[in-house]
Amino acid sequence: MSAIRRCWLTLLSHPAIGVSARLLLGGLFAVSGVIKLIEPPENFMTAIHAYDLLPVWMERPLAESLPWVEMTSGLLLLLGLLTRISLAVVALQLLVFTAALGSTLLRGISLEDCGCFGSLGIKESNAVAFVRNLVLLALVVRLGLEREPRWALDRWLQRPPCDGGSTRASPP
Amino acid sequence: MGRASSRKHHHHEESAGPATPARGGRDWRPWLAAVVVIGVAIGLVLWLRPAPPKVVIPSANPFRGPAGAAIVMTEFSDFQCPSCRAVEPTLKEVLAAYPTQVKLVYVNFPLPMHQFAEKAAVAALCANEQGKFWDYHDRLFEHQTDWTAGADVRPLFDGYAGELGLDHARFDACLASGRMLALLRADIARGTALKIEGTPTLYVNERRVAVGATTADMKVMIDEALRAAS
Repeated sequence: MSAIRRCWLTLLSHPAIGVSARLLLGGLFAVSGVIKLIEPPENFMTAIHAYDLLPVWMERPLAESLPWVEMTSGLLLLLGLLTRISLAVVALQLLVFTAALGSTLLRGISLEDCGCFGSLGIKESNAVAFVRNLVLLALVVRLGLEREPRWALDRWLQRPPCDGGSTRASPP
Repeated sequence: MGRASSRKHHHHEESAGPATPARGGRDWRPWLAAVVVIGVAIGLVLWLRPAPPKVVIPSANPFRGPAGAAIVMTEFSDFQCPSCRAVEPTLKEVLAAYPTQVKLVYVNFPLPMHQFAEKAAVAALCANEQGKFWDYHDRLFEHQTDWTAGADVRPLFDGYAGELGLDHARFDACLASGRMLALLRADIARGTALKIEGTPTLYVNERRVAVGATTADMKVMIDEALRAAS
Protein backbone atom coordinates (compact mmCIF):
# COMPACT_ATOMS: atom_id res chain seq x y z
CA MET A 1 0.00 0.00 0.00
CA SER A 2 1.50 3.31 -0.99
CA ALA A 3 2.09 5.98 1.62
CA ILE A 4 -0.37 8.34 -0.06
CA ARG A 5 -3.09 5.71 -0.05
CA ARG A 6 -2.40 4.92 3.61
CA CYS A 7 -2.53 8.60 4.41
CA TRP A 8 -5.91 8.95 2.68
CA LEU A 9 -7.34 5.92 4.45
CA THR A 10 -6.15 7.23 7.81
CA LEU A 11 -7.69 10.60 7.07
CA LEU A 12 -11.01 9.12 5.91
CA SER A 13 -11.25 6.82 8.89
CA HIS A 14 -10.66 9.71 11.32
CA PRO A 15 -13.62 9.99 13.70
CA ALA A 16 -13.97 13.72 12.93
CA ILE A 17 -14.82 12.88 9.32
CA GLY A 18 -17.58 10.53 10.44
CA VAL A 19 -19.04 13.08 12.86
CA SER A 20 -18.86 15.87 10.26
CA ALA A 21 -20.49 13.68 7.61
CA ARG A 22 -23.30 12.76 9.98
CA LEU A 23 -23.91 16.36 11.02
CA LEU A 24 -23.83 17.53 7.39
CA LEU A 25 -26.22 14.86 6.10
CA GLY A 26 -28.56 15.11 9.06
CA GLY A 27 -28.52 18.90 8.99
CA LEU A 28 -29.23 19.05 5.24
CA PHE A 29 -32.19 16.71 5.49
CA ALA A 30 -33.60 18.31 8.64
CA VAL A 31 -33.37 21.85 7.23
CA SER A 32 -34.75 20.97 3.81
CA GLY A 33 -37.65 19.12 5.46
CA VAL A 34 -38.50 22.02 7.80
CA ILE A 35 -38.34 24.61 5.01
CA LYS A 36 -40.77 22.59 2.88
CA LEU A 37 -43.08 22.08 5.83
CA ILE A 38 -43.46 25.75 6.68
CA GLU A 39 -44.31 26.81 3.13
CA PRO A 40 -47.34 25.87 1.06
CA PRO A 41 -47.12 22.23 -0.11
CA GLU A 42 -47.99 23.43 -3.61
CA ASN A 43 -44.46 24.82 -3.97
CA PHE A 44 -42.98 21.36 -3.48
CA MET A 45 -45.73 19.92 -5.70
CA THR A 46 -44.56 22.27 -8.44
CA ALA A 47 -41.00 21.00 -8.02
CA ILE A 48 -42.16 17.35 -8.13
CA HIS A 49 -44.29 18.07 -11.20
CA ALA A 50 -41.25 19.42 -13.06
CA TYR A 51 -39.58 15.97 -12.88
CA ASP A 52 -42.44 14.53 -14.95
CA LEU A 53 -42.08 11.14 -13.24
CA LEU A 54 -45.26 10.61 -11.26
CA PRO A 55 -48.96 10.76 -12.04
CA VAL A 56 -50.47 14.10 -10.97
CA TRP A 57 -52.65 12.48 -8.29
CA MET A 58 -49.52 11.29 -6.44
CA GLU A 59 -47.90 14.72 -6.30
CA ARG A 60 -49.92 16.17 -3.42
CA PRO A 61 -49.63 13.14 -1.08
CA LEU A 62 -45.90 13.01 -1.76
CA ALA A 63 -45.42 16.76 -1.30
CA GLU A 64 -47.25 16.62 2.01
CA SER A 65 -45.56 13.51 3.43
CA LEU A 66 -41.98 13.48 2.16
CA PRO A 67 -40.86 16.64 4.05
CA TRP A 68 -41.90 14.99 7.35
CA VAL A 69 -39.74 11.97 6.51
CA GLU A 70 -36.85 14.25 5.52
CA MET A 71 -37.11 16.28 8.71
CA THR A 72 -37.41 13.38 11.15
CA SER A 73 -34.75 11.18 9.55
CA GLY A 74 -32.41 14.18 9.27
CA LEU A 75 -32.98 15.26 12.85
CA LEU A 76 -32.42 11.76 14.24
CA LEU A 77 -29.24 11.37 12.18
CA LEU A 78 -28.03 14.80 13.31
CA LEU A 79 -28.49 13.86 16.95
CA GLY A 80 -27.22 10.32 16.46
CA LEU A 81 -30.46 8.73 17.62
CA LEU A 82 -31.35 5.36 16.09
CA THR A 83 -28.41 6.21 13.89
CA ARG A 84 -28.39 3.04 11.78
CA ILE A 85 -32.09 3.29 11.00
CA SER A 86 -32.06 7.04 10.30
CA LEU A 87 -28.97 6.60 8.11
CA ALA A 88 -30.77 3.86 6.15
CA VAL A 89 -33.82 6.11 5.66
CA VAL A 90 -31.64 9.04 4.56
CA ALA A 91 -29.70 6.73 2.21
CA LEU A 92 -32.91 5.44 0.66
CA GLN A 93 -34.18 8.98 0.08
CA LEU A 94 -30.85 10.01 -1.43
CA LEU A 95 -30.90 7.03 -3.79
CA VAL A 96 -34.44 7.84 -4.93
CA PHE A 97 -33.63 11.57 -5.36
CA THR A 98 -30.45 10.75 -7.28
CA ALA A 99 -32.30 8.32 -9.55
CA ALA A 100 -35.00 10.95 -10.18
CA LEU A 101 -32.38 13.60 -10.99
CA GLY A 102 -30.52 11.15 -13.22
CA SER A 103 -33.69 10.33 -15.12
CA THR A 104 -34.32 14.02 -15.84
CA LEU A 105 -30.78 14.32 -17.19
CA LEU A 106 -31.26 11.26 -19.39
CA ARG A 107 -34.57 12.59 -20.70
CA GLY A 108 -33.03 15.99 -21.43
CA ILE A 109 -35.22 17.85 -18.92
CA SER A 110 -33.43 20.95 -17.73
CA LEU A 111 -34.46 22.08 -14.26
CA GLU A 112 -33.39 25.53 -13.10
CA ASP A 113 -34.12 24.51 -9.53
CA CYS A 114 -34.20 20.91 -8.36
CA GLY A 115 -36.60 21.88 -5.57
CA CYS A 116 -34.33 20.20 -3.02
CA PHE A 117 -34.31 23.01 -0.46
CA GLY A 118 -37.69 24.66 -0.88
CA SER A 119 -37.47 28.44 -0.78
CA LEU A 120 -34.24 28.51 1.22
CA GLY A 121 -32.61 30.40 -1.63
CA ILE A 122 -30.31 27.56 -2.74
CA LYS A 123 -31.23 26.99 -6.37
CA GLU A 124 -29.42 24.08 -7.93
CA SER A 125 -29.86 22.76 -11.44
CA ASN A 126 -30.58 19.03 -11.80
CA ALA A 127 -27.02 18.40 -13.02
CA VAL A 128 -25.44 20.13 -10.01
CA ALA A 129 -27.84 18.41 -7.59
CA PHE A 130 -27.05 15.02 -9.16
CA VAL A 131 -23.31 15.47 -8.59
CA ARG A 132 -23.92 16.81 -5.08
CA ASN A 133 -26.04 13.75 -4.28
CA LEU A 134 -23.26 11.43 -5.43
CA VAL A 135 -20.93 13.14 -2.95
CA LEU A 136 -23.57 12.79 -0.22
CA LEU A 137 -23.97 9.10 -1.10
CA ALA A 138 -20.21 8.66 -0.63
CA LEU A 139 -20.63 10.16 2.85
CA VAL A 140 -23.47 7.69 3.52
CA VAL A 141 -21.14 4.82 2.59
CA ARG A 142 -18.46 6.25 4.90
CA LEU A 143 -20.99 6.44 7.76
CA GLY A 144 -22.31 2.96 6.98
CA LEU A 145 -18.82 1.53 7.42
CA GLU A 146 -18.47 3.04 10.87
CA ARG A 147 -18.75 0.43 13.61
CA GLU A 148 -20.19 2.87 16.08
CA PRO A 149 -21.00 6.52 15.52
CA ARG A 150 -19.12 9.04 17.65
CA TRP A 151 -20.77 11.95 19.39
CA ALA A 152 -24.12 10.25 19.03
CA LEU A 153 -26.93 10.18 21.57
CA ASP A 154 -27.35 6.44 20.92
CA ARG A 155 -23.98 5.79 22.42
CA TRP A 156 -24.64 7.97 25.42
CA LEU A 157 -28.05 6.45 26.09
CA GLN A 158 -26.78 2.88 25.77
CA ARG A 159 -23.78 3.41 28.04
CA PRO A 160 -23.90 1.45 31.28
CA PRO A 161 -24.95 3.66 34.20
CA CYS A 162 -21.50 3.35 35.89
CA ASP A 163 -18.31 1.41 35.42
CA GLY A 164 -17.72 0.51 39.06
CA GLY A 165 -18.43 -3.17 38.53
CA SER A 166 -22.14 -3.08 39.23
CA THR A 167 -22.95 -4.10 35.69
CA ARG A 168 -20.41 -6.89 35.60
CA ALA A 169 -21.90 -10.31 35.32
CA SER A 170 -21.72 -12.13 38.61
CA PRO A 171 -19.65 -15.30 38.68
CA PRO A 172 -21.58 -18.53 38.49
CA MET B 1 -0.44 8.68 35.81
CA GLY B 2 -3.49 7.12 37.34
CA ARG B 3 -5.63 9.65 35.57
CA ALA B 4 -3.94 8.91 32.27
CA SER B 5 -4.47 5.21 32.63
CA SER B 6 -8.11 5.70 33.53
CA ARG B 7 -8.59 7.81 30.39
CA LYS B 8 -6.88 5.14 28.37
CA HIS B 9 -9.15 2.49 29.88
CA HIS B 10 -12.20 4.57 29.03
CA HIS B 11 -11.02 5.01 25.44
CA HIS B 12 -10.55 1.26 25.20
CA GLU B 13 -14.14 0.76 26.32
CA GLU B 14 -15.44 3.24 23.73
CA SER B 15 -13.66 1.69 20.80
CA ALA B 16 -14.57 -1.84 21.75
CA GLY B 17 -17.29 -2.02 19.13
CA PRO B 18 -20.98 -1.32 19.26
CA ALA B 19 -22.44 -0.16 22.52
CA THR B 20 -23.12 -2.99 24.88
CA PRO B 21 -26.46 -4.48 23.93
CA ALA B 22 -28.89 -3.35 26.50
CA ARG B 23 -28.84 -5.53 29.47
CA GLY B 24 -31.90 -5.47 31.61
CA GLY B 25 -33.91 -3.75 28.86
CA ARG B 26 -31.88 -0.57 28.50
CA ASP B 27 -32.09 -0.38 24.67
CA TRP B 28 -35.55 1.21 24.76
CA ARG B 29 -33.93 4.50 25.69
CA PRO B 30 -32.90 5.57 22.16
CA TRP B 31 -36.39 4.71 20.94
CA LEU B 32 -38.01 6.73 23.71
CA ALA B 33 -35.64 9.63 23.03
CA ALA B 34 -36.41 9.41 19.31
CA VAL B 35 -40.15 9.53 19.99
CA VAL B 36 -39.67 12.58 22.24
CA VAL B 37 -37.44 14.35 19.68
CA ILE B 38 -39.84 13.62 16.81
CA GLY B 39 -42.81 14.73 18.91
CA VAL B 40 -41.14 18.01 19.86
CA ALA B 41 -40.06 18.62 16.24
CA ILE B 42 -43.55 17.97 14.87
CA GLY B 43 -45.06 20.21 17.55
CA LEU B 44 -42.60 23.01 16.75
CA VAL B 45 -43.24 22.78 13.01
CA LEU B 46 -47.01 22.81 13.47
CA TRP B 47 -46.67 25.78 15.83
CA LEU B 48 -44.30 27.70 13.54
CA ARG B 49 -46.24 26.91 10.37
CA PRO B 50 -47.91 30.14 9.32
CA ALA B 51 -51.61 30.08 8.56
CA PRO B 52 -52.06 30.27 4.78
CA PRO B 53 -52.49 33.92 3.82
CA LYS B 54 -55.78 34.96 2.26
CA VAL B 55 -55.96 35.66 -1.44
CA VAL B 56 -57.01 39.31 -1.50
CA ILE B 57 -57.03 40.87 -4.93
CA PRO B 58 -58.33 44.41 -5.44
CA SER B 59 -61.29 44.80 -7.75
CA ALA B 60 -59.16 47.04 -9.99
CA ASN B 61 -57.33 44.00 -11.36
CA PRO B 62 -58.51 42.88 -14.81
CA PHE B 63 -61.03 40.06 -14.78
CA ARG B 64 -63.09 37.92 -17.15
CA GLY B 65 -66.62 36.79 -16.34
CA PRO B 66 -69.41 38.43 -14.35
CA ALA B 67 -68.28 40.95 -11.70
CA GLY B 68 -70.49 39.44 -9.00
CA ALA B 69 -69.68 35.78 -9.73
CA ALA B 70 -69.98 33.36 -6.80
CA ILE B 71 -66.56 31.84 -7.50
CA VAL B 72 -63.40 33.85 -8.02
CA MET B 73 -60.51 32.20 -9.79
CA THR B 74 -57.23 34.07 -9.42
CA GLU B 75 -54.41 33.59 -11.87
CA PHE B 76 -50.87 34.68 -11.05
CA SER B 77 -49.22 34.74 -14.43
CA ASP B 78 -46.19 35.82 -16.42
CA PHE B 79 -46.54 36.75 -20.09
CA GLN B 80 -43.13 35.28 -20.92
CA CYS B 81 -43.80 31.94 -19.24
CA PRO B 82 -44.58 29.07 -21.67
CA SER B 83 -46.66 27.22 -19.04
CA CYS B 84 -48.83 30.32 -18.61
CA ARG B 85 -49.49 30.33 -22.34
CA ALA B 86 -50.21 26.58 -22.22
CA VAL B 87 -52.83 26.96 -19.47
CA GLU B 88 -54.84 29.59 -21.38
CA PRO B 89 -57.05 27.11 -23.34
CA THR B 90 -57.86 25.28 -20.08
CA LEU B 91 -58.93 28.53 -18.43
CA LYS B 92 -61.07 29.48 -21.42
CA GLU B 93 -62.78 26.07 -21.26
CA VAL B 94 -63.45 26.48 -17.54
CA LEU B 95 -64.90 29.98 -18.03
CA ALA B 96 -67.08 28.73 -20.89
CA ALA B 97 -68.41 25.94 -18.65
CA TYR B 98 -69.43 28.39 -15.89
CA PRO B 99 -70.43 31.57 -17.73
CA THR B 100 -72.38 33.06 -14.82
CA GLN B 101 -70.68 31.52 -11.82
CA VAL B 102 -66.96 32.05 -12.28
CA LYS B 103 -64.85 35.18 -12.57
CA LEU B 104 -61.16 34.93 -13.51
CA VAL B 105 -58.94 37.66 -12.05
CA TYR B 106 -55.53 38.25 -13.59
CA VAL B 107 -52.58 39.13 -11.37
CA ASN B 108 -49.18 39.87 -12.87
CA PHE B 109 -46.33 37.90 -11.42
CA PRO B 110 -43.38 38.38 -13.81
CA LEU B 111 -40.55 36.07 -12.83
CA PRO B 112 -37.09 37.64 -12.52
CA MET B 113 -35.63 35.04 -14.89
CA HIS B 114 -37.78 36.34 -17.75
CA GLN B 115 -36.12 39.33 -19.33
CA PHE B 116 -39.19 40.89 -20.98
CA ALA B 117 -41.95 39.71 -18.63
CA GLU B 118 -42.11 42.96 -16.65
CA LYS B 119 -42.25 45.10 -19.82
CA ALA B 120 -45.02 42.88 -21.18
CA ALA B 121 -46.97 43.19 -17.91
CA VAL B 122 -46.66 46.99 -18.02
CA ALA B 123 -47.79 47.07 -21.67
CA ALA B 124 -50.83 44.93 -20.82
CA LEU B 125 -51.69 47.24 -17.92
CA CYS B 126 -51.39 50.23 -20.25
CA ALA B 127 -53.78 48.47 -22.64
CA ASN B 128 -56.08 47.95 -19.65
CA GLU B 129 -56.29 51.76 -19.28
CA GLN B 130 -58.01 51.75 -22.66
CA GLY B 131 -60.22 48.76 -21.83
CA LYS B 132 -58.26 46.32 -23.97
CA PHE B 133 -56.41 44.26 -21.37
CA TRP B 134 -57.73 40.85 -22.42
CA ASP B 135 -57.21 41.49 -26.14
CA TYR B 136 -53.65 42.57 -25.42
CA HIS B 137 -53.19 39.63 -23.05
CA ASP B 138 -54.31 37.20 -25.76
CA ARG B 139 -52.06 38.89 -28.31
CA LEU B 140 -49.02 38.63 -26.01
CA PHE B 141 -49.57 34.92 -25.44
CA GLU B 142 -50.35 34.18 -29.10
CA HIS B 143 -47.11 35.90 -30.19
CA GLN B 144 -45.02 34.89 -27.19
CA THR B 145 -42.34 33.18 -29.26
CA ASP B 146 -42.01 36.29 -31.50
CA TRP B 147 -41.42 38.94 -28.88
CA THR B 148 -39.34 36.76 -26.57
CA ALA B 149 -36.92 35.97 -29.41
CA GLY B 150 -35.88 39.53 -30.18
CA ALA B 151 -33.71 42.00 -28.38
CA ASP B 152 -36.14 44.92 -28.44
CA VAL B 153 -39.77 44.25 -27.61
CA ARG B 154 -41.00 47.82 -27.89
CA PRO B 155 -41.74 47.85 -31.68
CA LEU B 156 -43.71 44.61 -31.37
CA PHE B 157 -45.64 45.84 -28.33
CA ASP B 158 -46.45 49.09 -30.19
CA GLY B 159 -47.52 46.98 -33.16
CA TYR B 160 -49.97 44.92 -31.08
CA ALA B 161 -51.39 48.14 -29.62
CA GLY B 162 -51.91 49.46 -33.15
CA GLU B 163 -53.57 46.24 -34.32
CA LEU B 164 -56.01 46.43 -31.41
CA GLY B 165 -56.87 50.04 -32.16
CA LEU B 166 -55.36 51.54 -29.03
CA ASP B 167 -54.66 55.26 -28.90
CA HIS B 168 -50.93 55.28 -29.68
CA ALA B 169 -50.10 58.53 -27.96
CA ARG B 170 -51.89 57.46 -24.79
CA PHE B 171 -50.28 54.01 -24.85
CA ASP B 172 -46.81 55.49 -25.36
CA ALA B 173 -47.36 58.06 -22.63
CA CYS B 174 -48.45 55.30 -20.26
CA LEU B 175 -45.36 53.21 -21.00
CA ALA B 176 -43.09 56.25 -20.61
CA SER B 177 -44.67 57.41 -17.35
CA GLY B 178 -43.87 54.24 -15.43
CA ARG B 179 -47.07 54.68 -13.43
CA MET B 180 -48.07 51.06 -14.02
CA LEU B 181 -44.97 49.91 -12.19
CA ALA B 182 -46.64 50.68 -8.86
CA LEU B 183 -49.58 48.41 -9.76
CA LEU B 184 -47.17 45.77 -10.95
CA ARG B 185 -45.17 45.92 -7.70
CA ALA B 186 -48.41 45.56 -5.73
CA ASP B 187 -49.34 42.45 -7.73
CA ILE B 188 -45.90 40.94 -7.19
CA ALA B 189 -46.12 41.70 -3.45
CA ARG B 190 -49.44 39.83 -3.29
CA GLY B 191 -47.88 36.79 -4.93
CA THR B 192 -44.84 36.95 -2.69
CA ALA B 193 -47.08 37.10 0.40
CA LEU B 194 -48.74 33.91 -0.82
CA LYS B 195 -45.26 32.35 -1.15
CA ILE B 196 -45.76 31.83 -4.86
CA GLU B 197 -42.59 30.69 -6.58
CA GLY B 198 -43.71 29.84 -10.07
CA THR B 199 -46.30 30.62 -12.67
CA PRO B 200 -49.03 30.00 -13.48
CA THR B 201 -50.39 29.74 -9.96
CA LEU B 202 -54.16 29.46 -9.80
CA TYR B 203 -56.68 29.66 -7.02
CA VAL B 204 -60.33 28.74 -6.84
CA ASN B 205 -61.45 31.13 -4.12
CA GLU B 206 -58.87 30.42 -1.38
CA ARG B 207 -57.84 26.96 -2.61
CA ARG B 208 -54.69 26.64 -4.62
CA VAL B 209 -55.00 24.61 -7.82
CA ALA B 210 -52.43 21.85 -8.24
CA VAL B 211 -49.82 22.26 -10.95
CA GLY B 212 -50.83 20.42 -14.09
CA ALA B 213 -54.52 20.44 -13.17
CA THR B 214 -56.77 19.67 -16.11
CA THR B 215 -60.09 21.29 -17.00
CA ALA B 216 -61.83 18.38 -15.23
CA ASP B 217 -59.74 18.91 -12.05
CA MET B 218 -60.62 22.61 -12.00
CA LYS B 219 -64.30 21.82 -12.55
CA VAL B 220 -64.24 19.47 -9.53
CA MET B 221 -62.80 22.29 -7.40
CA ILE B 222 -65.34 24.79 -8.70
CA ASP B 223 -68.24 22.41 -8.09
CA GLU B 224 -67.04 21.86 -4.53
CA ALA B 225 -66.76 25.62 -4.00
CA LEU B 226 -70.24 26.13 -5.43
CA ARG B 227 -71.66 23.47 -3.10
CA ALA B 228 -69.91 25.10 -0.14
CA ALA B 229 -71.27 28.52 -1.12
CA SER B 230 -74.89 27.36 -1.52
